[in-house]
Amino acid sequence: MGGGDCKLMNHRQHTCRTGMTLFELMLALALSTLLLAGLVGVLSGVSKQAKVSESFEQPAWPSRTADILRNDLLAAESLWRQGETVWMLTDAPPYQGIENPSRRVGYACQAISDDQHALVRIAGTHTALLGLGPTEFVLERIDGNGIAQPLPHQPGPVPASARLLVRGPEDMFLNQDLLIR
Amino acid sequence: MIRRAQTRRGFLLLTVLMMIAVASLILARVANSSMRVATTAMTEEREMRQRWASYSMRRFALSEAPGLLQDVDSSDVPSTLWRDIRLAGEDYRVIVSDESAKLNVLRVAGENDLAQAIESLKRLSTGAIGIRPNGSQAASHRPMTRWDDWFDVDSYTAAQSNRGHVARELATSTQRVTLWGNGRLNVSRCDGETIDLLWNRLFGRPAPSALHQARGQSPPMPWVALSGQLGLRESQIEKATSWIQTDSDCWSVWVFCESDRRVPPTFYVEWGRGGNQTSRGYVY
Repeated sequence: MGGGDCKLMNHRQHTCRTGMTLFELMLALALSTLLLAGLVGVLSGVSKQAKVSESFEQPAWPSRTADILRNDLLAAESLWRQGETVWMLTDAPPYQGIENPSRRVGYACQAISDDQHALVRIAGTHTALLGLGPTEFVLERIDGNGIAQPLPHQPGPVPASARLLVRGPEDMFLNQDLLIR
Repeated sequence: MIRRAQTRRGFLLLTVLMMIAVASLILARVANSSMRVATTAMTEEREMRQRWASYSMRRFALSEAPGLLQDVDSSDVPSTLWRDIRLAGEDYRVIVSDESAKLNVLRVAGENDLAQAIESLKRLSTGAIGIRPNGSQAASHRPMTRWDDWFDVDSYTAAQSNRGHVARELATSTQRVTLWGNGRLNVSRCDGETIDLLWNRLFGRPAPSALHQARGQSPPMPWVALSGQLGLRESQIEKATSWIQTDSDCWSVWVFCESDRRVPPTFYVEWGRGGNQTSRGYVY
């Protein structure tokens, strides 16, 4: 064989190494599809799990609000509801280091813009923002039979336990019973 | 041709790597949010357990206070019981007190004047925490119904950087003074200096020996019988009756968590009988 034949042979051998048969191609495609399908399945599963775990996440302010309210109620002398505001006379130690000369403390939901409401704590001239979003603050006393009753409109005694509901148009931020006395 | 084939293989690898990277990112987010949820749940569970422990100790101590304090020697610190308790995996220190055996400085301020009340507080308080010279809220005419109004808590907090220390100091400082109850002093359980201080305020002289001898008697002598031994005129007996009694109807309990200083100390006081029972609770 001459030098030209040898070159042609080398070229063919090289071409054969880089090409794939139809069977190999189909097998590769099938394996790739399987791998991609598996990865897509994993991704969708993980994404679903992420949504589930995020749905369990609650903002921090509702539990903090329940703590502040519990402390106020523990030291309260009387409790009543006036309009949408729950008022109490309390001796609770100053909240957040604010020197508060007033014993009269109120909790209410107030509109801070056309589409935004907030839960606030009113103590004398000082109004503290507790949380954004809630449109309704309900505090009910629980009677001896465990049934929630509305608060009186005049200053009345502080009950042994109370039911607290804080909700927005779509969310329920707080729904718990507070043990006071 | 060769370059094109190599590019196709690289594309597949790149796609797989990108999907693995996206999956890793989402998994990291899931892990992060799961950790947050788990941490929040653990914190709330711990707080709930501590609240339950505090509530249980408070209810037990206040309902059993007369029996618990019956055998306490009133010669040292009057009618106060210190106990260490282990509950729900935490160590607690509980201080049960007979508040009727303490001088009510709020009543002294109301019936005499604020200066006399502060003077009495200076004489009878036993801690390191300072007393406000004029009361914090006197100018605003607000009733000074919590210890923060009488003691200089702010300066002490600034020095200690922990409100828990303030509560401990308040518990130590107020073993002979109170702000709650009907305002009358149980002379059968209080200490001698408190009786002398009150008697001196009422009648301008030290307390008679019959009153000192009545301390620690079990069962306590009824006030009607005791008042007859004090050599008082009718008007004086009437005055003394409005300030003195020989039984107790006001009890308090401090709860400190010794094993976890992040748990806020709590103070509860309950007074009155039957339907007239009232209580207050303070979380520091």
